[in-house]
Amino acid sequence: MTELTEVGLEMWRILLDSSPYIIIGIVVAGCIKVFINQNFISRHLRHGRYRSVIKASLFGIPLPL
Amino acid sequence: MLPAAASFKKQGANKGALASFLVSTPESGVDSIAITYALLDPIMTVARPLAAFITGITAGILENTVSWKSSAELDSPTPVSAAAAGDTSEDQEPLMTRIIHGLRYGFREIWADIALWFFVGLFLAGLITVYMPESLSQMILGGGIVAMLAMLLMGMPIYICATASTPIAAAFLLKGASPGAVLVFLLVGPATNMTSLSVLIRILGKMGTIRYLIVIAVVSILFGLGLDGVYHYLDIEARAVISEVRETIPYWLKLGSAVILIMLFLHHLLDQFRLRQLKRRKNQFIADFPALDSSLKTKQGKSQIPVFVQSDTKTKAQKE
Repeated sequence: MTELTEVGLEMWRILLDSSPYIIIGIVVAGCIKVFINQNFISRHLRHGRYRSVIKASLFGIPLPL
Repeated sequence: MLPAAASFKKQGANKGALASFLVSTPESGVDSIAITYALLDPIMTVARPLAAFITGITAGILENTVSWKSSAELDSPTPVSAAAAGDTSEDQEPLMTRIIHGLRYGFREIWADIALWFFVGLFLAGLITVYMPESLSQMILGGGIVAMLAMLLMGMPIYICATASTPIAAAFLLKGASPGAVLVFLLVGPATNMTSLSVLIRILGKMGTIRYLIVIAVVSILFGLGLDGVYHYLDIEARAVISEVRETIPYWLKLGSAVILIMLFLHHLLDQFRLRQLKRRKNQFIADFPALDSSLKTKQGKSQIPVFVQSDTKTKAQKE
């Protein structure tokens, strides 16, 4: 029981530490999702044998999931 | 991430670009970068997206070097009109409503996608900090190629999104795992898993998927070994740096954000529950129809059988 409460306490501690950053993360991610639409990305993934690869990887960095 | 890639494929994206996108998108995102800064250290915060970027490019370039059809660009369907139409409708919305849409999307959709995984991640992190003996993690995950391979074996089959894997990584670090080994887990955990394999094969093909997995494994291990080298060169212990960032934010802000996230998650759960109940009710409604129907049929059948028999006997009687 004491060990389980320890697990719970640790979870709570990590949640507290990460929450403000998660909120920043999902706000920015949401705005990216709205401002950059899929067609825009798709247009850049069609042309160029290696250019498209670099662009695809760059697009993928900020996008969530 | 996978549905997006599938639609890019439909719109004519080449295989290399798809492979590249399929590596860097799950391995890194604004949300996971933010939480990495919160729970790990600045070096990790840079190393993660950088490694994801390089891994993506490597996978993509290999793919396009091996399987490039020169006519691919010409053959590809280009739904320009649809794309243009989508753009103009997006552009016409004023800035404020778009930002509000973005906020709503972030808090509702993105957090709903991440939340459950994140709480699972928290739980696993809690278990690791309480139950994992430090001697064990130092022995297996302390560094070198064995630690990298161990993390590879752990991370490849499971699915855990980039944000949710971060608390687990922090727990491993605090137990004495080497930063390089932890980076391997952070890269491989989100990028590969059993369930997405069939979708990957559909998008990249069988050989493409094998190349994709090999590139992720090899490049991740190289980055892991490299990162351990960086920490060694700078003479930093990852464990010591972790807690530094944590103290910079006031408690009320931490508590407030945690409460907001929990409330949003509960709200989402309630929504899901309601939706499921609604569906069940609908199914019952629909399921009732065949039941009624079949009962009617059997009644008709029963009533028809004697009629037939009667008519049969009648005809027989008439014949006789």
